[in-house]
Amino acid sequence: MLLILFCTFVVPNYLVMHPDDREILTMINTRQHEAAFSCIVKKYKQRLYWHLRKMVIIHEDADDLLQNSFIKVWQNLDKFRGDSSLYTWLYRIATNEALNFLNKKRAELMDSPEDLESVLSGHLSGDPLFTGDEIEARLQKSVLTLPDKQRLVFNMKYYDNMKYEEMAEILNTSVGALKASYFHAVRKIEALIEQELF
Amino acid sequence: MTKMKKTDQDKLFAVPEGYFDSFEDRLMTRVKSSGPVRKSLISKPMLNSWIGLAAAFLIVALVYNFLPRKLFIKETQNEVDVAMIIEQSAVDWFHEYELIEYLTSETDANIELYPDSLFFRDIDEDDLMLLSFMHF
Repeated sequence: MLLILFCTFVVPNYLVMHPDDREILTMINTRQHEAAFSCIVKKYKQRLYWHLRKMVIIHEDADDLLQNSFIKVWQNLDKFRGDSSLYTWLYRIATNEALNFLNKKRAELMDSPEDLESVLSGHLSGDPLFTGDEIEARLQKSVLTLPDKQRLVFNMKYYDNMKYEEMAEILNTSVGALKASYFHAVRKIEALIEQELF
Repeated sequence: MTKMKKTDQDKLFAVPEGYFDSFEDRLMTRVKSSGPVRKSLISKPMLNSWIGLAAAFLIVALVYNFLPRKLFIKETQNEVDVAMIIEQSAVDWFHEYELIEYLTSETDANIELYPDSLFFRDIDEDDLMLLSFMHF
């Protein structure tokens, strides 16, 4: 019975493999843009979504940014040369979208008594789409106190478990700088949580 | 940080039901309205071939332009050098006024130097040949 269930549900999923990056690159080079784009979206939409969501917190904003990122991918598909991996390229586009969005939001709140961190932190408290417990909420609020780029480094290292070399390629920064940034981010968050400021 | 248990991001945040399933359809609606991929008229492999060909032609043109001239100048320069040696050799031996002074002072004062056209007028071929051996 278990064997039948395994063959019915698990095996077909393995057989329907996403094409690897080389195949997608071949499709791009042979001008099969729609097919290549469809593969890219299917393969990377979730990973990019979660990356954006952790940065902007609000689902609707993450959804907008994800769509904007993929539209940029679509418009620049011809320019992708394969110098970096496909994921690095996509991640870089999504990261830039997130940082630009946060800068824009911060500028909009210039005349407001609240800053962006307070707005996002407040949203966490009342968001039905935030399913973490109290400790996780405190962690997220502590992370929100970090500067955007440092928050990015923290998320990529702590949640995504990325290698520093990969992060260096995406963020165009040295490994040493990233290590230092992560180290200081961790210190700051630990201090905030220990002091029970969140 | 290691004390706190790492949380999967999908357990920390939730998405509306069916969000990822419907994402592609909503995206393609926006993509179609944004227009097609900006395709270059020339395909990348073809463009690379043309660039390579153009680069090869440029190299050949540069080599053809400079190298033969260099070689040519060198040969000419050698010839010039040799000619200059000959000339210098001839000139250095006698300055013109020294030659004139020598000829007029050491010999009979009646000798006058005429233009070549007059000087050679009465000289026959054998004498002329003899004179040519003396001329440097």
